[in-house]
Amino acid sequence: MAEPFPAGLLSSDVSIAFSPDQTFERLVTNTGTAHARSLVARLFVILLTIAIVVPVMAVQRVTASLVAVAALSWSFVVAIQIGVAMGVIVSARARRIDLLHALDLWFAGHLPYSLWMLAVAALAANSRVVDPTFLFATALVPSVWTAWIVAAFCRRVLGNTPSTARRRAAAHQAVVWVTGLGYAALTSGGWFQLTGSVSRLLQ
Amino acid sequence: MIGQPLRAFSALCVVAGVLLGTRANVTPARVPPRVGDYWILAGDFHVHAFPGDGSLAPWTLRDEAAREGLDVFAVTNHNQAFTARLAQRQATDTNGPLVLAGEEVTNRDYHLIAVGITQKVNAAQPATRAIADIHAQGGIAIAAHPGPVFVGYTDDAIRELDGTEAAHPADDKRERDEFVAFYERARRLNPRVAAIGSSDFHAMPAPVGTCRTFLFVRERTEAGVLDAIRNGRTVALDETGQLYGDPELVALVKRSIPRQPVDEHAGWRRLSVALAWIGVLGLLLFRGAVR
Repeated sequence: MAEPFPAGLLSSDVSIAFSPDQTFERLVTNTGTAHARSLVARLFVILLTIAIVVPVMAVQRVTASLVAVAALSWSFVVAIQIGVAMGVIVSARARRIDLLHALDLWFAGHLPYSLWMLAVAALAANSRVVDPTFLFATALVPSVWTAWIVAAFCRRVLGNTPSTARRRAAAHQAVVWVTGLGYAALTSGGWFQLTGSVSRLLQ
Repeated sequence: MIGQPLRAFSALCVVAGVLLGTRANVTPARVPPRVGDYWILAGDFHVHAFPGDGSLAPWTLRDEAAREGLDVFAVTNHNQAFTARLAQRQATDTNGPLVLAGEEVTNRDYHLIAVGITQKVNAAQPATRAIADIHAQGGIAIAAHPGPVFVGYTDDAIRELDGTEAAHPADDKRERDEFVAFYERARRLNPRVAAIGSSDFHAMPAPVGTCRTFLFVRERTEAGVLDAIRNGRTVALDETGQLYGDPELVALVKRSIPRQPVDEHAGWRRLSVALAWIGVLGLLLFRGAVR
């Protein structure tokens, strides 16, 4: 199956973001042995994105120590994502490829959230004040986009039927939002803080 | 593959951005002014840190506080004091701003800043009792961003407060006026209540110290800072440059406080951010040897 973008220019993450079914189908048949290296490279770039975005948003600067401390502090987010991915992948009986390869392809679908983080950082780097409630609302865009990619992943990589794939994608989104909002509620003093933010946003 | 050199160039951009940002990272030297027997310190008593709903680790925050010209700040996460105690422990044996342990006691009916505490204050109780718990630990209690929605601030509770955030980043003038109105109400009930300015920094602009408190302290220690707040020897500065507090102290601050530190390397800093940002984007978009 041909690549939808100029050969050799863009990463498979980009292809997956825009034509996930076609790209996953092509990548599933890639029997190379560099999946571990590829997975490490993907995870590194995701962690690097977080480590650059956090200080840019917070203090509008990047230094070696800011980036290193942010990477260390927020690496638990990547660890949670690995755990969630393992849950989705290992529970699929009809999986077409080995775990490492599947994990590599799973994280190739991270582009929507990575781009959203970069967009938020660009906004924060050029603003005096940013409303966090607005940012939560904009997170719906990568959320919906990722659900579409995860459904394709489930169909093409895990061998799920379309209806099972949709259910798994929905369950994944539920886990992501419950984890994210749960963390926000836990650290901000309680769920009433979040409901207050939502009602302010609706006003 | 054309993607590989572009990806390598992107990686180079990230490295160059970080190195440039590190090189342009200068913290101005600061000596707090003196007036008679007092030092005038600049403080921020409402800052959130990681782990918690702040994004920056305490030791990073301390560097940022120093850069913003603060002499003291308090880590005040919602309903936990673990991060603050960690921050304080880490900051005891090095130079830099004083770090005080605190908590934002977060209840549906009030948000209350506790500073100088040793353990978590229970948020599931009326404000008067939370304030009493803070005082029992030797700490001070400050009303956080007090607007009309916080009905827990009864007259009895306000009489027990040590300070109130007269200056806090606000969405608009109406909100700013609410903080000032609460401060004036508190002054009527408790003439010694301290005017406090705080940034309530979490993870995004406005930065640490945007709103700040000037304190007239006899000694540059935690005890000296808490004593200044308990006795109302403070002036609050909001993000528009307006000062609040005892008119005599306000006049002293106007005369004594040097201008805010200027970011002398703003251009290099912006370039470093742009390089790192573009570099990461390139790493995400361009194909590498194994992607």
